[in-house]
Amino acid sequence: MNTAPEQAIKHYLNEYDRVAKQLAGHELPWLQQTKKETLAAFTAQGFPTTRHEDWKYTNIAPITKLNFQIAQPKLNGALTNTAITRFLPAELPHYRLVFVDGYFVAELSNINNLTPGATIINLAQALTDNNTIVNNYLNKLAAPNAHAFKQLNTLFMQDGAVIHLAANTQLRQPIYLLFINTEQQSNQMNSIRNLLIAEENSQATIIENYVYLTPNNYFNNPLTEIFLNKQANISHYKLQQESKQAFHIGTVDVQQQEHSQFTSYSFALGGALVRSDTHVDLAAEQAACTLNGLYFASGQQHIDHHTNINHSKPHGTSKEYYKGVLTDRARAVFNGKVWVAPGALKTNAQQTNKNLLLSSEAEIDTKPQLEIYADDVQCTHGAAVGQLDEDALFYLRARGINDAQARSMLIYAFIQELFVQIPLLPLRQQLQNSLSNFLPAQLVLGEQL
Amino acid sequence: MLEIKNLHASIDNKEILRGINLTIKPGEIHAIMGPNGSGKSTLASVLTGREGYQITQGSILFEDQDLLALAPEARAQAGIFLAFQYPVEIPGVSNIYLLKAALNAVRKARGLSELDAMDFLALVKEKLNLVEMDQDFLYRAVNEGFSGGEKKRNEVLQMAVLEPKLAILDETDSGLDIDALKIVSNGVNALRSPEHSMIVITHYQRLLNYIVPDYVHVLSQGRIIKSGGRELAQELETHGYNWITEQQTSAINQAK
Repeated sequence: MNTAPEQAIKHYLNEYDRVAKQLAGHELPWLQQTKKETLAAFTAQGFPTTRHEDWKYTNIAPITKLNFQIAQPKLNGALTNTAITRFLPAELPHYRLVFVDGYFVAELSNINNLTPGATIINLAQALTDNNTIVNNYLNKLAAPNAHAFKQLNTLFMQDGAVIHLAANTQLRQPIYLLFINTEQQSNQMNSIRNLLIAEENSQATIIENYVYLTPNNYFNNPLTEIFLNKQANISHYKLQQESKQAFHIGTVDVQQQEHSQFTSYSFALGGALVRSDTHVDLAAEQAACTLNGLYFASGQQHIDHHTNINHSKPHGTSKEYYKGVLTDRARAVFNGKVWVAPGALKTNAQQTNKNLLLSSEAEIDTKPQLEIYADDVQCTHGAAVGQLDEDALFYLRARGINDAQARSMLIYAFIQELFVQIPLLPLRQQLQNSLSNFLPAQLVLGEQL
Repeated sequence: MLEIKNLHASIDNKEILRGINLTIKPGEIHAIMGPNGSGKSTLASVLTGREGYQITQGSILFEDQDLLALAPEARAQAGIFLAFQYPVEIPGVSNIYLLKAALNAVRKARGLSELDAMDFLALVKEKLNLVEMDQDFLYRAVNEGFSGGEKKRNEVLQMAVLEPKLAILDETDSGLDIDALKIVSNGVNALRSPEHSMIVITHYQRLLNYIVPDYVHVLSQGRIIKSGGRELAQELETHGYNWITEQQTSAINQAK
């Protein structure tokens, strides 16, 4: 008898047989080798269950019981630049790559006037060209024991952004990566792979935005690999605004060299079942990372964030600040792992996770996980779970502000510090607008509360 | 304007108000005095609609509306304002945002349009002067880290901006030094007019030297046991609350 997970493994092996020859780069021997190894590992390992410590609070059965398929590489053609305007930040000049149902669409993209020293290309094209960037860096951060969804991404990678910043390149505009699901077919899986290499002393801001046109139960399984060379400075935004019926399991893998700075902002607003992993390896001395995150879940949404920071070398700094708001019967998980290697002296790691529960049926599982094998380090962590302050709510209502608006003000007051940290004002405004749809009442958020 | 009839209210089945009768006409200032635990703050809470109180008997009419049927925000929009005894700190919400949201809500309820940014700021600056507050206060989180006196002045600032028909001052004098007391009283007195009424709840007579009431009521064990003019406050100050409660007790005994 086939159990459901075994059935799922079988399905994806069949699906791989079906589409392997359609995927870009299938003729490249080195990629074939990578996929062969991944396929063997996936077949042997299978999908995680709640018996795995890393998946204890997130049951992926709703994903494995559906047979997701990669969309055909043809456009539905209906999308125009006007149609996607609402997904773009107003008044923020940017370089843009747009992907529809997992495939790059040149007509919707724009990388004119690209700063010299920067290369931006879509993955399918880079693989077709056997570009040395992908040859040198693709999948190099994959751990042998990577979970099944990362393996699936490697097997099915359709397209994505490949960005290379030569030494000393400072990008004038952020790179905006827009991923749109259009419901081209039901049970659609999108397997996006992004790759960013920031050479010495380069600087850029990357924004990934995951959106949809029609609510559907599609499955996004993206993976982004980021390499920061010495003194590189990268800001990375991930805006997850999937359909409330969709599944999203995403990974960001980062490796940092000396004196590099990586800043991440993760905003998780959509999705029925969401898992977001961020893994940062501070692989050289004096590397620093900041991971900020916000999740806002309602209905029966389940949003799981796993962060994993490896302090491999001395004098590394990591700061983590995640906040969550949960209402109805929503559930969230925050698991923050910080690993300090033997000899990683003078490590400074701070982690904070704060949650606001708006209903008695909402649930948060928050878990700091510090493993420290070095002396002379500073590691702190704190987790908090609270409710809306009823006295404050009455105070606002006693001033004439209606209940929904008063609640919205207090909820926004709880999370606004995450917005205030966003240096790009138009992007901040776009995010505030997205978020305001989730509040009980519309707020005027152009100004600070 | 306000008509309270035979009001009984309980918390957790413990009766706190036991038959309050009080009528307030436009322009009148009524002081409510009484010892601790007499029900003064409960009356303020019931008037403004705080949750957790059961009204077991009686009624409250405000401009011929059934006040008890209204949500707290609807009461505020109708023109009732409570200056809190313990103003709440709200981190993350600035004073100016609160003032603007509150004023717009109240104006909307009165059928007025929202004030534009310039007019709003001009109005707020004028009212800031009234309570001698610095503009910096506008951009600080509501009451967060404010001193006791600053919190009370902030309450009066909100009152001055909203211009309520009926303001309830719940022990606004508590914790104020004499200078702050004068500033707060000036702010309150600036709102006095033939249309605006007030209920001034206080433990001490001191505040009533500055905010001179038309009527004084003494609350004890959930009832108004004595009412009079402003001179009643002076007598209370001289003789203490026991003077009245004893009078009351002997009156009851004589009746028996």
